[in-house]
Amino acid sequence: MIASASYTVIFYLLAALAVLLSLAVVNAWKLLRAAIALMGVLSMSAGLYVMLDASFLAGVQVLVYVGGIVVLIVFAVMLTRSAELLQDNPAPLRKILGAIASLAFLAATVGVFRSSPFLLSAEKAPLRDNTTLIGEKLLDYGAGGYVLPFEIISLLLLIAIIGGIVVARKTEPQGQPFTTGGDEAGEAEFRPPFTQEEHEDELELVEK
Amino acid sequence: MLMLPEIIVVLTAGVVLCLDLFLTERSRVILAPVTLLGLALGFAALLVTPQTGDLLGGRFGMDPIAWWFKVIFLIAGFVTVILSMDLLDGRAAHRMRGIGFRGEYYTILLSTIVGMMFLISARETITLYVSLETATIPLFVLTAWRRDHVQSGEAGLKYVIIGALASAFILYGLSILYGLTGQTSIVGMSAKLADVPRPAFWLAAAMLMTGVGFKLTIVPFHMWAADVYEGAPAPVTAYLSVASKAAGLAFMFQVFYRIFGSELAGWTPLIAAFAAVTMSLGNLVAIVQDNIKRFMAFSAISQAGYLILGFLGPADNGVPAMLFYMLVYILSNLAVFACIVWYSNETGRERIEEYRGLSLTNPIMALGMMIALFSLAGIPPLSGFVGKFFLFSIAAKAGYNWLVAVAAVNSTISLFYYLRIVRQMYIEPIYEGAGTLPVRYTVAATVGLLSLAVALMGVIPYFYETIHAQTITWLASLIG
Amino acid sequence: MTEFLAQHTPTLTHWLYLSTLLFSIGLYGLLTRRNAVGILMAVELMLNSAALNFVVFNRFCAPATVDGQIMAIFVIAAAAAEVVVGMAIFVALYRYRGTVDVNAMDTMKD
Repeated sequence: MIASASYTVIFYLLAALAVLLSLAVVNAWKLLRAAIALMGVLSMSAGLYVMLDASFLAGVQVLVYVGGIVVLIVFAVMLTRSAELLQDNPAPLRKILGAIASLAFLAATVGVFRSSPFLLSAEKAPLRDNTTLIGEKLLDYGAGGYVLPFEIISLLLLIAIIGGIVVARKTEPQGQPFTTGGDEAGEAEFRPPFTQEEHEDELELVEK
Repeated sequence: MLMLPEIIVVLTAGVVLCLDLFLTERSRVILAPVTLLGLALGFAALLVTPQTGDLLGGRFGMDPIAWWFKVIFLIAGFVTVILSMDLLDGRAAHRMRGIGFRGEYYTILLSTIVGMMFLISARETITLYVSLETATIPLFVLTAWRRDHVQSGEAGLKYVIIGALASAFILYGLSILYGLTGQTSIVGMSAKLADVPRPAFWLAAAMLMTGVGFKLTIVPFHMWAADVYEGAPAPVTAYLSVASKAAGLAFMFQVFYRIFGSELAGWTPLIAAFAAVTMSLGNLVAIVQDNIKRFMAFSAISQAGYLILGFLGPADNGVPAMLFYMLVYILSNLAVFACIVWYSNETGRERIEEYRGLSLTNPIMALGMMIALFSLAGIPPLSGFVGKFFLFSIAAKAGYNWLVAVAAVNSTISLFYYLRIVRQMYIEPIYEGAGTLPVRYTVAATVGLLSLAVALMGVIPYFYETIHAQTITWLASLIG
Repeated sequence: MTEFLAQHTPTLTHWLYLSTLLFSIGLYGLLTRRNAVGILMAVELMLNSAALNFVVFNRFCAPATVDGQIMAIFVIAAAAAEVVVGMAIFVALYRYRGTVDVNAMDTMKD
């Protein structure tokens, strides 16, 4: 009885923390604080995963989501060194409309979940460790295995890395003048955006 | 070897990426031909692979519908590479800043094609979701490819946000479906869906519809398309308007026919409403557009409205009609975009009135563009008419006569605005001192072949018959 | 007290309320944030709540399998790819424009 009582307590504790922190994510004025709050929400979710008998997933969540993705966001926020990037305060009207829309969504979804009985399974979780089962499934190429998405996502991650490098890279491709891409102070003034008119001027020069 | 086409395309991506390491900037012109060769080999492999069967214990399935979708994806990819070649290897690349990294560009393009091919062959929701992401996420990068170009970056930003939003909705919908059925396999889900609680099912369907709406630019979810299409580099816009739309259709097909199946029946009024609003709004806004890429974005939105008419009918009529129209649409749209890309590369002009006098300087390109535009408008002898006719007849059979009337009116309106471009090309006076613009033979051949195909497919109903027969076979196998 | 708590262990519906609440908060952030990085963080909240949903359903509706957990792993990986690409685009655009405020993204409006 103590065990299930503490289960309840921990659930509501983690849930409340997750909700509060996610409110902080969407409301914090400073983006860096929002990123830290996001880290908190994701850690709380990892705790919830443990309560759902998904301890391997909890580990993945902490390592990849908290340790990787959020750290990347924090890096991106800090590397750009901008006061503007750190601040974010929406207009009141926008807040009200956003609140109405999301509350409507919440009400609709909660209504649906109240009225539809999901088919609960009486089965108990298998005695075997979940982690072993996940590992086997991910590399299983028979029926019920997931080797195909496993391979596809490796392609996706590779492409994301390549694409990220190309897009965020500072140097110009070979054969073109080197710039720092606007990182040096005052560079933006030297090099205004390449406009359509300029484009045409250059064309006329070429044609002449 | 059912997966051979996919494997060849993935290997090509790897070869292009590795080859890029060892080449000097000047010799990187061979990357595009290598990519084209890979896609052609993939296409050849697709022709020899059996059209039915499955692999990996039924986790990768092949049937005639998947086969036709893969044909569409490969053609779209092939033509896009030809168009990209004109931008990246041509004179334009020296003029524009932030264009480059050809090896990476082709690798990323190839990987989206692979994602789309797996998308239509997926037989469980995890592969479905992962391949949808693989088909979409690289497109964000391609959209923002011109790093020193404000509009390209802005388009990329908007596309990332909308794409992530759409995938969040799709994912939440899929999670409810998983909860209702307790499994991930598409066949298993669809078997169990008949007796699940209705409200939760509707919620899942609505969320999936929202996500798909973003991908297919159905009207309340279309607002991103114009900016993204305008800002992206022109070949990428071409690719977005055809392949990304085809992938959206493939996903919708997987969800609506394979998972929902007969549960779809109650949906038709909603789809009819979406179709009517989408085609009307896309058309009305297209009339006032000035930039040709933005114009094509709204044209593509209204075409999506026609396209989803196929979901009104039963699968054995609807799917072949949609596939045929999709094929016609990508051929016509790519022909138009080939001209747009070429004209923009040669002159930097992207506004509609700047197309004046094109028929005098480059008559063949103007003719090709005119045929393609007329096909998009649905002028009788061309294939666009046949495609629209099939789709409209499905709506009529389903009892939506008002919708057919709306669609017919919209076709007439669209004829008016497509004629605007033709008028600029054929009637308006030429620019002073404008001479014949050079055309690469690859682009000229592409425009010629595509417009020829567009014209012929309207005359020869062979394609439709083939698709039709094969769909019937697939349905028979599903029932039997 | 202990008895009351023990009798009220969270059921499936409670878990679903939690995940839908998180999703709605993410939706709110998506609609109100002006900064693209803020919007992306809100989308991460939504993706996380969808992943939570998968694990919850896995635990309550199909405990003998691990399909939902595997889906959650793929969701995390796909989210990583999305964030990498998104951040790269934002940083590149920021260098050039000096802002990632979505309200300022209007160079293409007519």
